[in-house]
Amino acid sequence: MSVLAHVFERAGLATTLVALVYDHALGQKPPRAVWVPYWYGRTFGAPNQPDLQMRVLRAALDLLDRPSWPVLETYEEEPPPTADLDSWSPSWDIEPVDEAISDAELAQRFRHDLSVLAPLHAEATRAHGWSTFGLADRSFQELEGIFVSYLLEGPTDNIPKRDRAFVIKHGSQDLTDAFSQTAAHLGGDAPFAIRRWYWTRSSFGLVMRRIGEALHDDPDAKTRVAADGLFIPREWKL
Amino acid sequence: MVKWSDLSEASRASTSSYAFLDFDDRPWVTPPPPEERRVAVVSSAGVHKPEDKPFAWNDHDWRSFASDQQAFRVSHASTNFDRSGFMQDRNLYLPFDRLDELVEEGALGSLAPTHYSFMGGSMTPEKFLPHAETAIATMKAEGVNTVVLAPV
Repeated sequence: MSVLAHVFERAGLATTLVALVYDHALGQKPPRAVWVPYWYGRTFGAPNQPDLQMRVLRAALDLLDRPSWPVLETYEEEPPPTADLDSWSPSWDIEPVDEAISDAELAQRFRHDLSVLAPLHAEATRAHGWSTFGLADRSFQELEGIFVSYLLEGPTDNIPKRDRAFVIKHGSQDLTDAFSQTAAHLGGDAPFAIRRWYWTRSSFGLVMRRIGEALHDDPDAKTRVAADGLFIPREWKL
Repeated sequence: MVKWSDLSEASRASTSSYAFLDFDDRPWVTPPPPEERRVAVVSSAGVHKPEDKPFAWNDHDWRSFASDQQAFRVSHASTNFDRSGFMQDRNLYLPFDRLDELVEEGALGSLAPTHYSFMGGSMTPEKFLPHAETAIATMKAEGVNTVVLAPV
């Protein structure tokens, strides 16, 4: 984004940037940036905190009145505390899985957990008005078939090679988003706890981590690329 | 939160491999007074309208949407940033409601009709440049003079 700021400014547009990675802003030197102490994806602080969001935005807009290049300031306000990582669990009937579970048993748990999640997610979507679910353009039932098939059989004709990388990558994101939106809707904002529970304790996360390993041997090169850094968060790869 | 010293070794290795571009100019625009500022927002979140084509993992082009767009997809290739906050409140990536409030109080002139998202995190940022030019052309046609850049 610092590169874009430079190019926009060169074209005569005044820019201000809310920087999340201090060292990037320091290295690329956009004309004006304010560094905020928030995690990736939390640019304006926290959801449903309009006062905090406004203070961050004003801090960025205030830089437009500075007299000379370059401006890199620090915004010190910490984000509100979120749920405790160790004690948080989803507020619906879903049990953590054992890492040693067999693929066949895991497939069964995945099917069950998905059948519980789907209506809860529909309810969360209705309440909020929209959802990011739908990237893969597949229903929950279709995603279940795709992932169970890949878990138990590896690459098969169930997912044509032409679509495989796209469907697996975006289908995995759809399930992550559905779980996250449902968990936040039912239990409140808990970004780190939701993420960790999903990837380390849920049947969804374990299915994806096992598939993530198998993807490295997929005959399709694009699918192998998807597996290499784009499928599982780096801290939870098997 | 995100200074090198705060990151895990794996995250630091990935994040520090970012390639900086070495520009030989130092552009600086003095913006018009606040009440004349017409603002566009540019996100790096890979957000777009549900009907738009998702970003592929080597895309450097952009998608656009209006500030009253209420439903989004997030097809950014990275799994390493939070989406749960945005799903609760679009203002976490795209502070349209806050900007509307500033316009209402007279602290800004207006919001542009069109706003933009790229997919950030590229290791080849020079590939953004031709696409940035097409965004600039649209912004200028819509009278934009001020840009708020909001990475994720």
